[in-house]
Amino acid sequence: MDFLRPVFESGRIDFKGQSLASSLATMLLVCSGIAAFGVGYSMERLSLCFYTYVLGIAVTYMVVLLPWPFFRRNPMVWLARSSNGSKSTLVDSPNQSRKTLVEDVSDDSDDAH
Amino acid sequence: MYNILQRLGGITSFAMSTLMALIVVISLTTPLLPSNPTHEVTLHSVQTTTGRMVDPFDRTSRSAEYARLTFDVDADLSSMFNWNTKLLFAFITADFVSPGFDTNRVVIWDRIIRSKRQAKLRLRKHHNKYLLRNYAMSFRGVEAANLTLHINPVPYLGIMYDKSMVSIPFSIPRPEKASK
Amino acid sequence: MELLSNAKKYGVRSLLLQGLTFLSVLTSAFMIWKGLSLFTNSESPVVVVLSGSMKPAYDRGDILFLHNGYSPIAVGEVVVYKINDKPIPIVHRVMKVHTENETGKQYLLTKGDNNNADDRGLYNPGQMWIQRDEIIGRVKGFVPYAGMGTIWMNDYPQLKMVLLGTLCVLSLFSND
Repeated sequence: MDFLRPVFESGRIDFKGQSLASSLATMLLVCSGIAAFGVGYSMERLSLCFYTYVLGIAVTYMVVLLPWPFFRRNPMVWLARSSNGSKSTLVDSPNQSRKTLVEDVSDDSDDAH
Repeated sequence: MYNILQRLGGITSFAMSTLMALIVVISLTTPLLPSNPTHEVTLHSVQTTTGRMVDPFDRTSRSAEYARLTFDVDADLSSMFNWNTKLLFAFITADFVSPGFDTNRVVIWDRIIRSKRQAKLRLRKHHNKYLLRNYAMSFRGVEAANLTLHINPVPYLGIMYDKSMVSIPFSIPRPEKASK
Repeated sequence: MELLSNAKKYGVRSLLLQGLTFLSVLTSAFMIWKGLSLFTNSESPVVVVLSGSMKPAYDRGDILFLHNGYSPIAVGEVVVYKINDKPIPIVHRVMKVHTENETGKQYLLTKGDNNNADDRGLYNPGQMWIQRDEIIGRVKGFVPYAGMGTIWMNDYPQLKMVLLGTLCVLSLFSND
């Protein structure tokens, strides 16, 4: 079932990007809902209301679904893999202050087994 | 939200929730929208005859008394069309009290109004579309008859409600042969 | 095979937990359905319109929300009724109501807005009226098109299998 892997692994974004994506999606959808009600009511047509909302969903997909660069501005700081397993150092990255310890989510490291 | 599939699922489920909220808001606000329809029903005459209806599913096969009403309807219902009105189901009921039955209510005429253009009703000397007869097949002892115009707005989505508009009292006579 | 390797990786406990979550979703859906049924006094409070006999008010695939309650039926209400010994419920409008004084028993006649004749041809042979207890509910709310999935699954039973299979595959491969 390895052919499915690209489907599940594509489009990764970093943690700050995830939080940004989540709040962006919420905001866009709620706003498009309100806009849809306003447009439908003022144009006196219910179908127009739902077309506006579908447009809003499409815009949300466009903005949030794809891994745009602004979701990837804060890449993870990984600890370097040490040769003897006793000592580890930080690799150089644009953001040295982050020291969050995170488990390896990629799950495809061959040396685990 | 870390890969495309997760974002797809998250956005879609939240979009569905928002859609549901939108639908609930639309359904709850629609009955509050104002409307000021004008309406008037005038009844000219009521004639009762004895006869036998030819209906393959009506197994009673007894002769019964049928009332034939002649009425005018003047109504302007165009203000009842708002952004969430698919159609208006307008109907006139005759209700009466008969021995043993405290409510009898029968639709004698109906019309489906699908647009503002059709919403100006002007019927002259109209007869009932549906046969009016009593459950007991005879109008003996029938009293307190009323003719009522009802409007039932059917929305594109949302809550169903009924508006009864105007009520005029009348009496249903016995057929002339029977009263003699 | 996939299941076995998953069990090795996450342990039997997590598999059981996944099963339990699945079951709790199922049972809570069932509970909501039954609770709604109790609240509305209707055996099925949400129905999908299967025929076009109420056109243009309701079309195939529309979802109706029903409330039965205990009050007598009024003329002009759209009701869903199921004739005794007939399997399919029908959505039509009530055209005649006769209520008996002493028993409060109602004799009802229905008709579809799009049909020319009343419903006596749909009742049992010789049946002239339907009774209050044959009414499943009166239509209170309405959402168009939302039941189209049910219609498609009725028309093409293979679709059900495909859908179930896709769900199973997806649930096997999403590890969260």
